[in-house]
Amino acid sequence: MISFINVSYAYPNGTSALHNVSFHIDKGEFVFLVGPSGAGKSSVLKLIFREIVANSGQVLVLQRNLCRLRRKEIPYLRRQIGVVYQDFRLLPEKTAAENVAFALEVIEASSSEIKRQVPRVLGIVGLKGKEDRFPHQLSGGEQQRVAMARALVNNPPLLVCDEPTGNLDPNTSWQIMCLLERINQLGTTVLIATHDKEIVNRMGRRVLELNNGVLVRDDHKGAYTHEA
Amino acid sequence: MKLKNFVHYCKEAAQGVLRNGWMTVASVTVMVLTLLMLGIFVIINLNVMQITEEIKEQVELIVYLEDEADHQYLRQQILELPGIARLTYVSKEEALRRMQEELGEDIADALEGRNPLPASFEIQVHDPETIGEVADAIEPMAGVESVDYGKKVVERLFEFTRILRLFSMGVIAVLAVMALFLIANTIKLTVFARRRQIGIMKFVGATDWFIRWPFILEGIFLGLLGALTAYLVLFYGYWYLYAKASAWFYQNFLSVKLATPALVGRELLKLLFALGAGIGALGSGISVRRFLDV
Repeated sequence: MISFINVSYAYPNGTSALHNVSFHIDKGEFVFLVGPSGAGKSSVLKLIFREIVANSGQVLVLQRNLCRLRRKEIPYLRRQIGVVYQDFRLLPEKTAAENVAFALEVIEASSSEIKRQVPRVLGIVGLKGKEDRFPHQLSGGEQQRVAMARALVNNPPLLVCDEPTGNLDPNTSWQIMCLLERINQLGTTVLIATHDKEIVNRMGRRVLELNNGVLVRDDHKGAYTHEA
Repeated sequence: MKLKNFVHYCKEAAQGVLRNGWMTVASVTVMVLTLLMLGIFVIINLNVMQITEEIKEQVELIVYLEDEADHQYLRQQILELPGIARLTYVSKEEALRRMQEELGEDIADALEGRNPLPASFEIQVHDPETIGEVADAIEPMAGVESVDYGKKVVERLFEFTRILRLFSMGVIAVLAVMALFLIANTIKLTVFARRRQIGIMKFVGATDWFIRWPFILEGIFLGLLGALTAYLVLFYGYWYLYAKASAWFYQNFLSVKLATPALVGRELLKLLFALGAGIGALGSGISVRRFLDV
């Protein structure tokens, strides 16, 4: 599903962000990407999402070599990857259902498809009955559920989350994590960048740890750190 | 472009126009002002052209012949020159008849049967600006007494209109570029106000053109709205002034023919709407391009 082979990346100003990183994620896995701020977690996600291109090495995502992906093909890669961000990124003037529908509208889905898919994913994330609320009428956890519904509405094989619980209290965070696990059980590969130690330890799933742009650990039944 | 998408683009564009109310007003105002200035120059230009044409048509080269000249042969020689539009032979008798018409029958009596008037050719050329060259070519021909075309006046007039036309075209070009950048700037504000939406569209996998179209339509719409406003102001303004000016010329026995409102309206319609839509589309295209690069 995702392969990094000796990937290095430096920011345009020359600062090195990733150095010789290699890992492989299979279909159906549930993986945490951990490490302190500035360790290169975001760069990994941006490489997968083709927001940036590796300076050297190979990035393979969903059978595509992203170093050779043409600009025109980028939207079609992204339609196969759901993304969830720390700041939710919802449109404030649209309701929960409209925010989810928007993701389908802009990839030119038919209106019957939109009518079918939107209630389905809102049901999966547990927002039945709150379809017509605006983001400001929802709690942080509920807003993140809307974002997750939006990421899932296109049935992507891969879901990528950048600090999905960064703005949420521990209890809500745990609920979001349980939801991500359920989504994973439904067949979606899930990759979560986080520095939420407690959650990573409690979940006990595969952990990739980055430090200063180097992959220092790949632990298949992992905790946040060795000592924990 | 699929119809369903087109409907979506229009809906988004309309939403943009309505939601960014004051920005819409600002950009349309800028557009109207620019197109008004353009339109005024167009009107001046049209009138200058009209008057120039009028004068050009009246520009005539008169070749006076010596009495013993072979006018048939000279006629052939002149017609071989390039750019001759019309050549009329005025015989001595015809010249006298014309003078009698102007001055009255008495003149014939005063001349006691003699005719001192020379025969002549009245020549019109295709491009009046070449009239000087034609005159220079005819003057040395055998049998030509003299050539007359009000040399200085004609040459100065052409020089003046050429400069005026160049100048107004230059100003129009500068104004058009100014309008382009002002619209681009205004659409940039609209794009900026919606950067969040654009960002989301990008990460859920919308194509670049899908993102671009609503903004381009919005730009075109703003341009057309500006063009319509400028057109109405200019057309009715010109209509009013044309009536006033024509009446004044008539009262003062001046035969100046201004460009008719119908002609001005037609020209303005074409130019303002094409330019408005073009500037709007190009301006928004420039603005949206920068925001599309992640």
